[in-house]
Amino acid sequence: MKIKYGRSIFVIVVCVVLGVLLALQMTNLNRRSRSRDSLQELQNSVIEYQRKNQELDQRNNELYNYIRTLENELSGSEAGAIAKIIEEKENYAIFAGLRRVENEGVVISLSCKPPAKMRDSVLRQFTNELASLGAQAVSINGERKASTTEIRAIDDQILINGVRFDRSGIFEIKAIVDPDDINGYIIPYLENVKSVILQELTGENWTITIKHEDKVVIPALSEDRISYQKDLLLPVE
Amino acid sequence: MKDKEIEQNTKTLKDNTENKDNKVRTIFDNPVYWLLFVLLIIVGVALASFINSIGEESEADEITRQYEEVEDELNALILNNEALLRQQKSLENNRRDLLNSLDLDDVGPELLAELDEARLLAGQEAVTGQGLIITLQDKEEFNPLTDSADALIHDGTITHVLNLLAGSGARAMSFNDIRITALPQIYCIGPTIRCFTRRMTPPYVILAIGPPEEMREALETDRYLQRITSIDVGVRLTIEEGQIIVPSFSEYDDYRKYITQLEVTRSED
Repeated sequence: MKIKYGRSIFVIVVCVVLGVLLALQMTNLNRRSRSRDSLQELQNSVIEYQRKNQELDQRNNELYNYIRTLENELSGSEAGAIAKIIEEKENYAIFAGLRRVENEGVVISLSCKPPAKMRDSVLRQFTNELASLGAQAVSINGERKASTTEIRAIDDQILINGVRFDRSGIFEIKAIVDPDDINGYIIPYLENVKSVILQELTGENWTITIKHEDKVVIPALSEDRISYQKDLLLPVE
Repeated sequence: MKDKEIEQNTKTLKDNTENKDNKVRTIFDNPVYWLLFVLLIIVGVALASFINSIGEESEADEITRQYEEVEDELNALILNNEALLRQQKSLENNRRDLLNSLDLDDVGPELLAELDEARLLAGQEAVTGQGLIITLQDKEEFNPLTDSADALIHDGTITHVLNLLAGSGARAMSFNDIRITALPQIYCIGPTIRCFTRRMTPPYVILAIGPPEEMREALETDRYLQRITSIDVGVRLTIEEGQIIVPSFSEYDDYRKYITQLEVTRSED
């Protein structure tokens, strides 16, 4: 009887020791799995948050000063609120694409000969690449790209902001981008995108040209376009 | 006599050997001993490995220490970020109240209406309305050796869905809590998707305010989405309808750094 108890206790003790050792070993493994790469990733996040917080702090300070100006305007001790409001409104309008803008940029011309037709996917790919390259304003055949602009092929036409364009015509994508990056990075990158697209379209007679222009003018989004509609939106209080 | 003695001794020896054999067989036949044997071997190996890892003054420990420090720093920064965002919201509300109470003579109401409109179209206001919640996920248990590349969600998949939603009347959209602006920077980095500088992993959630039925129909009838969500490819897509809130872009970033190159021109030439 005694031997039986002793044996059971021994097995329990061995199992407990084994459990503890395995747990410690797992902790060690977990710690080792934190490689230099994951540390680097974490450090990048720290840098990103530091930058964001700094910007937010600056933005809050500006908002605070703005509020002070409005308060002073209300109390009659200072005039200048209107100028501030106009400045704020203009900045929002530029960002939303409601203003005609110009600067250095790139112009991409695309055309294809029958029986090939312009593909919406190609136009979308170029606009998405331009957005990823940091373009600040983009237009396609004079239609300003806004947050709800659709680029969609329907039969022989391509719809952009609700405006129809013939798929057999020339399409021109204009973009304002950082002038410092145009020749060194943006154009070579777009040329690479172009060659990938042309490779996919082998057998179709396509012409794509990419040019650097000193003055690219991008029109404002017209008020009658679908992207201008905001009827279904309610600001959250 | 001698023979008899020898015979008896042999018998005794045989009996003893048989008894001994019986005893040994009894011990190893018992599964508890086998279990103990195996357990002790595992304990031995684990102990040796543990002692070995204690002995190593390794680079891994240094990385772990640094990792924990950076992790703490990041957590503090995230908390600070949340506090700053709350402060921003409170200041925005304060600003709105003050603007509403300002007496700006004749230009006042019109100017404020234009400001509200520009702010709304610029995605600088969190908005609510009826719409869709679209969730996209890679194929379950994706195997790069046997599954098609289409079974993973790419940047093109996201921009395709956004384009379909825009085409079917969406008024405001967000992608994993970042408001979609005129030129959202959405691109693939390895197995993840980046939206501006934020790295995202599945599930990818797109919110869209707009006519729910039209937007749903556009998604459900799209051939590309039908193909990638088929059993053969395996992308998982769910669409829910409801009252949703699309966040303001200001919750992610300061919009002004995206207009630094734009010079407003009013003339036609």
